[in-house]
Amino acid sequence: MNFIERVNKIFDDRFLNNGSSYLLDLRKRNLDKFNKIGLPTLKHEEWKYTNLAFLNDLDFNLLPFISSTEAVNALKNINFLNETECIVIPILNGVVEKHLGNFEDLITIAKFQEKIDEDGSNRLNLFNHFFEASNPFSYLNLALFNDGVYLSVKPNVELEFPIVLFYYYESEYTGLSNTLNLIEIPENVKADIIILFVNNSQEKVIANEMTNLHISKHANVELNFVQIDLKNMFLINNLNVISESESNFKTNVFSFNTNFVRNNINYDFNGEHSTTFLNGIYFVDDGNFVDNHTLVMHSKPHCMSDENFKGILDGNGRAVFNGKIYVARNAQKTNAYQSNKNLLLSNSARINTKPQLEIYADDVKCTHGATAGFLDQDMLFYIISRGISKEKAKSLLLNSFVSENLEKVGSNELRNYLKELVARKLHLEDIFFCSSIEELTKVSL
Amino acid sequence: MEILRIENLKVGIDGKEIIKGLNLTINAGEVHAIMGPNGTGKSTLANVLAGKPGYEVLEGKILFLGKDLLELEPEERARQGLFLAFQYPVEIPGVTNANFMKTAVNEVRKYRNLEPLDAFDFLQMMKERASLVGLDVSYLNRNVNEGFSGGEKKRNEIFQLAMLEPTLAILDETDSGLDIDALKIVANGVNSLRSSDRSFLVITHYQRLLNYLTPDFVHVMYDGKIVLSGGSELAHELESKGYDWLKNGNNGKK
Amino acid sequence: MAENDILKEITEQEYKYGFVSLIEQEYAPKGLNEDIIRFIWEKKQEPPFMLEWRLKAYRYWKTMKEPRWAKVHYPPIDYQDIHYYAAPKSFKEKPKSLDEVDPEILRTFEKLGIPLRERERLAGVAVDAVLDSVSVATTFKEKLEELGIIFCSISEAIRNHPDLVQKYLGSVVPYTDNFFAALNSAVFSDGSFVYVPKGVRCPMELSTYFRINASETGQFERTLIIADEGSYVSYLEGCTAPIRDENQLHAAVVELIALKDAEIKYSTVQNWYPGDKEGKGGIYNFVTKRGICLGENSKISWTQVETGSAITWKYPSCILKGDNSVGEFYSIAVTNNYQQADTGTKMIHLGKNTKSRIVSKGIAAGHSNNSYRGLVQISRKAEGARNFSQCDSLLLGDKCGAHTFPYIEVNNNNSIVEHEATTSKISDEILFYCNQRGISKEDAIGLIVNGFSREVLNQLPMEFAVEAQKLLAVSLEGSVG
Repeated sequence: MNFIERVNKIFDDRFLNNGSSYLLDLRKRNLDKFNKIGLPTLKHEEWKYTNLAFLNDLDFNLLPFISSTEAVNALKNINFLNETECIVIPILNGVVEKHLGNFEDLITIAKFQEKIDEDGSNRLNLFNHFFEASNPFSYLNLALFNDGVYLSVKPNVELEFPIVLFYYYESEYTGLSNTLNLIEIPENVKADIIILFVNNSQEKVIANEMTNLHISKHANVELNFVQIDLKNMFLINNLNVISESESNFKTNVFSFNTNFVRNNINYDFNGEHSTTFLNGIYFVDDGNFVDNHTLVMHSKPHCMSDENFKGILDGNGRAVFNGKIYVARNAQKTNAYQSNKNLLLSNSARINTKPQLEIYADDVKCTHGATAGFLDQDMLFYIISRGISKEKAKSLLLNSFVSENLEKVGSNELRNYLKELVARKLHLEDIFFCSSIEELTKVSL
Repeated sequence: MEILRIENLKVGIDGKEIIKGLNLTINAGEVHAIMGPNGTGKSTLANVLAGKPGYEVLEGKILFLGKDLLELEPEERARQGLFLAFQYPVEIPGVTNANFMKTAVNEVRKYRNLEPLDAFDFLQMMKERASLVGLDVSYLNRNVNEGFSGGEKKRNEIFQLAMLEPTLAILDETDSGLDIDALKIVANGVNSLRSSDRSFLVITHYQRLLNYLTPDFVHVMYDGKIVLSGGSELAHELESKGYDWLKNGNNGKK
Repeated sequence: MAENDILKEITEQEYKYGFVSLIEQEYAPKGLNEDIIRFIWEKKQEPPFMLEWRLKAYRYWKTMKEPRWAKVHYPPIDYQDIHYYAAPKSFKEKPKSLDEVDPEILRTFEKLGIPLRERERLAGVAVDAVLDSVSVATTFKEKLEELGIIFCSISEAIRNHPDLVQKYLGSVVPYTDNFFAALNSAVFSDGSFVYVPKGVRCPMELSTYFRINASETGQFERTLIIADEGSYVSYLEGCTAPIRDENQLHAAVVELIALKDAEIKYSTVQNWYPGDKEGKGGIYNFVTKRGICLGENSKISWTQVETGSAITWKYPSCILKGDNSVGEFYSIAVTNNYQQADTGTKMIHLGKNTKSRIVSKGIAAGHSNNSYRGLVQISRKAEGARNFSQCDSLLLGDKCGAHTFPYIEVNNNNSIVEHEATTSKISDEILFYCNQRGISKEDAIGLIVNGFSREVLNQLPMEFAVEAQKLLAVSLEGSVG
């Protein structure tokens, strides 16, 4: 059986006689669309550099149900979560658990299916153009999703703690997960969301997760993706964002040593005078692959988008960047920036980057840039000439290369956690990267 | 005590000979100045001493503290006490001055079998040495040379010199691009770092830095060689007569 | 004049070269099959290897699908509704000298600003003129022959230099390369051929003017330029076509081969009929241009000024095979009314220390769409490769589109690839500044467009630069320039 056949078998076995008629109809419609396109090949422009043929060789089923004990233990190892007050919503093998933390009065958390049976259908329609545009995996998700989070916040609330969607996977057989989240941020809300992936499976996990985010007027949202050391995992991470006027959105995507990650990030300005920042850092080493696909749609005038992805490629690691800025006919006074910079440390590493501009309005300022290269030799010599070893000088420069994007993380705890991770990765443990010299006295040397 | 001895040094870059047989000896505590028109190989000499890649030593030898300098990696040269103040200091985004210096100082100390500096002492040291060149403490929190003015970059070089306490400091055109006030600050910083166990090699095109930083010896370099050597008065003579004086065949030892 | 009026004037500007010459034509019957290919082959009196090659290409073409990936839209082309061969009746044989050329043909080229006789007298440029499918005149032939330079129509080259042709034809663009290259290989009727021998610097610009005259014909010319070791040649190409309601297909193939230490400079000023202001008619310009830097230290430089055609689909490319070889691409593409251009380049770095530079300037006006599409590929073995790309777009009016689709593929860790792109309009501040200094809006636009294009215009040989500037002016507005 190939991938498509397995997907259809899972549908017949598990979903055909399940759920409301609305849900069944939604699933069927999307399964049809998925079957029509099929598993994308390298001939598919959006998958030109991302080979999915291996999926046909995997024998998989839906992931098993698991208890939360293991997940709670895994959580303890992620120290930034222990250091800060936060609300954690565990999603265990694609099933949403009761959340940890108690902020009931400010936040609504529900299972997506429950919501969709009420009025979710209309809410999801808002994102339809992304489902059409992005890729067949959104159809797959809508056909086979087993669970998902519905999240909302009371209007006019500035949350002082982050909300963490904690994806945890553990399975003894090759399994598939499709979760469908809907997050609605009302007016004047400030929210910080962290989506964290941990895989503890011995067997392979195919995770095709989707989050749809609607940001209302005057709201301010930061969303951080933490994808670290994901072995045995094929993660297709879909994010669709629609923002209303005068809102601010920022997402930071961190993919360090992941065996296969494809991030599909789609963003649409549905109101004027809004801003969005899309940032990312990826590290790939032997056997690693990361593909960041972003689409920023300037559908309305007077908006600003700024995108900045940086990658370090070592070993035989591979990375793909594909960023598109689309400026609609009436989206005058658009400012759009995009940058993708890569450092290749090994001769077997490979980068394919494709920054694109598609512009139909004339009164715009759009720039994009992409580079691939190696460390600046003048900088390297300057550092070495001060008595610092070559290895350390290299590490310092690599750290400086990514630090710009590390500093963009809003949460202190997450930022420091990532900085420490990067320092360890670059063997710079003995250098504490203090932001002020006063901090120096706080740490032992 | 002899710190540096250069014998019959010939250096090429991209197959072109730049330094064509240069001899120079520097003893402990001495300040030597090398002057000369542009393109005579002054900066090449500074870069070769610091070990910048891309230069090919064709002939001759360089002894630093009695050891073959050319055998050493650039970072080893630095750890053994050779410091180069760059003509064009590099900007390093993302690395703060404080982190940079702490890493460097501790690497150098480790090499000399010294304990890393205590944080408090290190902080004190940085503040003290920064004030020596009139560099505000806030600059230590900023990324190395990023967004610094020309004068600030040069002051930062002297600050680093002060931090790393070298045996031989080479100043490569440190005066270029400085206004008179900045020049005084830099010169005063250097003067306060002069001692009986630290030598300086000052490379400059103009004499004006030497007004504030009186050298023990002045050498004139022309077409890859030292063509004239003398005391500090030679600098003044050169200033009044100009380099054309050299080109008119007036070569030879004074 | 208000900006809107200027834009209106721009969009209503008429095509100057749209006349039809009354020359008696001989056509091949419409449609394409193996008999037509034999017919062309016989007409051209080619050696047998060519028939074999043409038929192979045709059979391969039949298995292919027309590509749809470019950002251009057009109704399906009926490949059986085209004449694949048209030639002025007046010469069964190519004329030996200009005196034998039909005066109407000479007048045609004179109207285009290419007075062949005058060119012959003027030193500096040797011209090969191609009308519909046939090369009608090549000037300065003898002078070039003294230096061992071969400059003739490709038909003559096939007959007179079959060894060179057989060795290099299809070596850079094989007939399997793409749909239009396969079609061209099967049916091409003429084009230019240049061979510059070892160590020879071609003392004058070589130039070909292409002209589609007959209706319902396709033009499929083929150009092959070989620069032997240590040689240099600069080649210019210009194109025009009459105004016709129907769309006409132009599917050319150009192959350049630079051996060790050789340099080829290839410049194009393309001004095919772009269609009227409603988007009716115009040339479909689907062209495959590719050069290979075969030897060490060789260099290929493409410069193009693209103002015409209803649809342009072309990517002059460089395969940098020899170590230290250099590829360059300088382009200005202007689209207006309903024109569509999808153009750019491919720089394939295979050799060590290879360098490439891409400078692309897109100017979109009216309802047009102007896309840059480019590939920079650094193979694992291309150690120390460098690329710099700069793609700028200028939008005039709010009904057009400008797009940038660069593909960057890097497979080693000691190369540097840099890509930068900007899209902007002419800012109101700049226009106001010019106005305040007494410069009218339309002059200001002209100045700015010229400045915007200067880096590319500077690459053109003097004679062409002037022509190109005029063309830019004509394409955008009478006063520009």
